[in-house]
Amino acid sequence: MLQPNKTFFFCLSALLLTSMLIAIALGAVPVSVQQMAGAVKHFFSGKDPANIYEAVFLQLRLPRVLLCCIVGAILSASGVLMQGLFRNPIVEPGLVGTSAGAAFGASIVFVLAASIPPSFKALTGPLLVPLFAFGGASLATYAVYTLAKSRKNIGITALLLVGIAINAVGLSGTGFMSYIARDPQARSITFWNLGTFSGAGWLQVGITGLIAGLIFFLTIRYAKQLNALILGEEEASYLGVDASKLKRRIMFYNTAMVSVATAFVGVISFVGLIVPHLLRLLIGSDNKYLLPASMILGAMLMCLTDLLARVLLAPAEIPVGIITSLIGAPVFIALLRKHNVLNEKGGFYG
Amino acid sequence: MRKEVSMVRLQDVGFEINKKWLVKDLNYAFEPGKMYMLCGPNGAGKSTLLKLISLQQKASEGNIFYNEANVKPGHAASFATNRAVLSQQIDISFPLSAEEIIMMGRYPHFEVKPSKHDVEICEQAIALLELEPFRKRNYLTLSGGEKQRVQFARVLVQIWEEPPIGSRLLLLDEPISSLDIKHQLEFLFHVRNFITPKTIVIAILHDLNLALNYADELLLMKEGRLFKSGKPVDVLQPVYIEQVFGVHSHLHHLPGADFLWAEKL
Repeated sequence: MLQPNKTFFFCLSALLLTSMLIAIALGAVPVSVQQMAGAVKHFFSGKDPANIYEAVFLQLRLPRVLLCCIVGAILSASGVLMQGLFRNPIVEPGLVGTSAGAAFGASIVFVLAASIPPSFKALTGPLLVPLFAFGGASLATYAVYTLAKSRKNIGITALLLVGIAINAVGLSGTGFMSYIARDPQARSITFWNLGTFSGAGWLQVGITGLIAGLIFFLTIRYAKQLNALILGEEEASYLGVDASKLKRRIMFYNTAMVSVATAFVGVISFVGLIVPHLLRLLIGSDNKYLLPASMILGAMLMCLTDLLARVLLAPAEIPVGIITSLIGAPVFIALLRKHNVLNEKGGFYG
Repeated sequence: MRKEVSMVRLQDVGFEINKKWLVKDLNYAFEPGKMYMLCGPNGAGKSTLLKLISLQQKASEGNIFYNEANVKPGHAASFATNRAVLSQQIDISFPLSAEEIIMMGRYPHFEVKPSKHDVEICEQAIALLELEPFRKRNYLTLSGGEKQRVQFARVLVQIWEEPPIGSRLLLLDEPISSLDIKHQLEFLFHVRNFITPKTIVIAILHDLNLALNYADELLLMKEGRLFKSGKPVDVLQPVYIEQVFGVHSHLHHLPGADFLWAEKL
């Protein structure tokens, strides 16, 4: 096992920066480092971009890569938080209905935008979709949590089964919305259900970045309490943790950030599952290190996956959610098999 | 907010679930400096009583006093620095090393980073309980007995030092059932050494012979009620054993120890 010290975090951050540079440089229109530097220089001196490459860099590539990183960080942090909360290593926003609920909430806005009062729209501004997504996500997460909960903790089987059911409800809700939608809206719902960063812009980067930063500083304070929760709610309470208060808070923060991410980029599964898992194998389960490390690694993986989505069929684009699912699902099944979860009720890391 | 414990007193405590009284009419005062053991058949309400005392469950009737203050489950967190509980079995689903688990016992004592003092206390506990060989190992790969010893260390470091005022309270729910005989004796030896004039220990124990020889006071429970309490030799008399457990037994006084054996059915 590695020590999660300063060197570890420095290396991880260096890898992230390298991945970002590669992701910015490559694509349908390649951008060189000189062009990036030129664009930054022109931007700060208040001039327009000198050429198409600088414009691509400033208006498309950079916000897109940043949004990837932020969303990757949000989904991975959410994985860590939800796994800690449910005391179960296979929980992930895509599996327990959070994302599907958010998707349903957001699809309502897409389709029924005309019937929402303009005054309400003016009030919420760019937060309209995230707000609806938050509503849907909260309902779905709460439903899964309540239904799967037995007396002491949440069993893997119950959680997966209830997750399937709630996901199905969310999906059919979204499906119904796209059914009653007129064509262009339906297409945007489909695209967005598969998860894509193609709509990335500075506004989304600003909002998600703000939320991600805010929630990181709010949740990292609970790292110790989440560690204590590993022992069980009862033991945690003997250690002075108010478990139900902790759960309410974490659940709220988590749902908020996943909703905002989902509202802008759609449903992206398995990132929140794989990233914390890899890091637990590398540095252990101390949430104080696991949370920031997962955010960095999640950002890096998301940005590389989106690069794949952009270049595999260039100039066409594959929705990134398809790639994460294609990579994530086999890894997930392999994990379940390796740890014997499919055959018997068993631990994951034993 | 940190609160003190110096004496634990139960007043008419009862606990009801589905119209069944698991604990009823419990009146007792636990005093510092002593080891109390709860004995009784399965379903006699021992674990429930321990959960009531540890403020994990809310009593359906009656009052629980720490010192002279009436306490409720809502206060549980504020006693974390001077009340520790060792549960029967603790399952976790994430990989943590034994020493990380032990350090959790110090969580109520520091905010973000453990102080040198916290680390020092954990080292002492690891040395005391001879956990050095597997301190770095993944808790999930330990045997049942090793897990129990790690949890014992965690609970001890939580209340390692006597509080400046009041006492510390150690609650043990069948702490030795997964240990072999040597580790059982070592465990009880460490618990006995842990008792100071400012320490209350309350343990549930199934082994009547160990209870007989290690307890200061013994509480015999039957059907949720306190059947008999007092010195172990006075309580574990064959006549009471028969009434509570329904078995015939004989009590012998050997040099240096008492010995209770039960007849074959």
